[in-house]
Amino acid sequence: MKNENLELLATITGDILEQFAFIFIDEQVDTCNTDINEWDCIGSKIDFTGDFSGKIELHVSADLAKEIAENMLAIENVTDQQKLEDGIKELCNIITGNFITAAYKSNDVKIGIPTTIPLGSERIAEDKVYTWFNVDNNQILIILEQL
Amino acid sequence: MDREQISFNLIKQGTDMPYSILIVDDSDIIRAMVIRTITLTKLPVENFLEAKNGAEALAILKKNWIDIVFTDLNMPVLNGFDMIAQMKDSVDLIDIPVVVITTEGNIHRIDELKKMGVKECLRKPFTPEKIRDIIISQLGVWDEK
Repeated sequence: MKNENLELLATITGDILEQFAFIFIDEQVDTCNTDINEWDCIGSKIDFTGDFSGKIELHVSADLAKEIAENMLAIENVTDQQKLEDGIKELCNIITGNFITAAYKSNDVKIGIPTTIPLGSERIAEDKVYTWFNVDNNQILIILEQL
Repeated sequence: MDREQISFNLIKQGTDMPYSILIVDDSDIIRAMVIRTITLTKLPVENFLEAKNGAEALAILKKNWIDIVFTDLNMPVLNGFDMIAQMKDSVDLIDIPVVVITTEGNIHRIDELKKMGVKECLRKPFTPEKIRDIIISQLGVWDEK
């Protein structure tokens, strides 16, 4: 399901990935390239509340999460799972903060603390608002839930 | 040794010495990125201290000389707002420059932070140039350019 804010979120996601993690998106797509239940990924979600409420989820292929952490830390071969999750949580935090500022302007919206979450196939049911990005052989999924 | 004693010792030794910077963020990655970014600026920073939340930061501030604090807002245990409020209530800590590094872009909340005495609000993602400019402006560090 598409909506205007999802397109804004997609644009912001691409910009933040470039600026903060030096990751460049190949294309935005509608579907997962593999069986969603088999997809090896690391995910984070962050809630926002106030004049507008909802949550944003970011799920990233495990291999790409490793590359993101290595780029952010400027070191090679990051294998610590905690650091990989930390990198995705921080990306989710930055994307959410920038999205809220752009989408809701001066409205009072407070951002929660990002947490690590697994991805279930129910998260991309037909009534959900989400989009995928291809990056080399990896994928990124971003889900927008507005209450 | 309390902050007053540390200050006295510094005056005795002369203040022409490298700076100590406290980085407050619950993300290990962001703390590492801020330290790496500041290191890249080649400014005279001798000591980086790190805290995962406002409570840890206040404990460090009470025991160490800190020239400038870079802090996040959204943190567990004690958030950045409450930490800054406690710093501004303390005669020992009130004059330490505080720079907020946040995803926060809400103009009202930024105004609130400025009223609390926050010197600068740096939005993520940040650049080395912006961090360097802030340190130079807040501490009067000599710019190599």
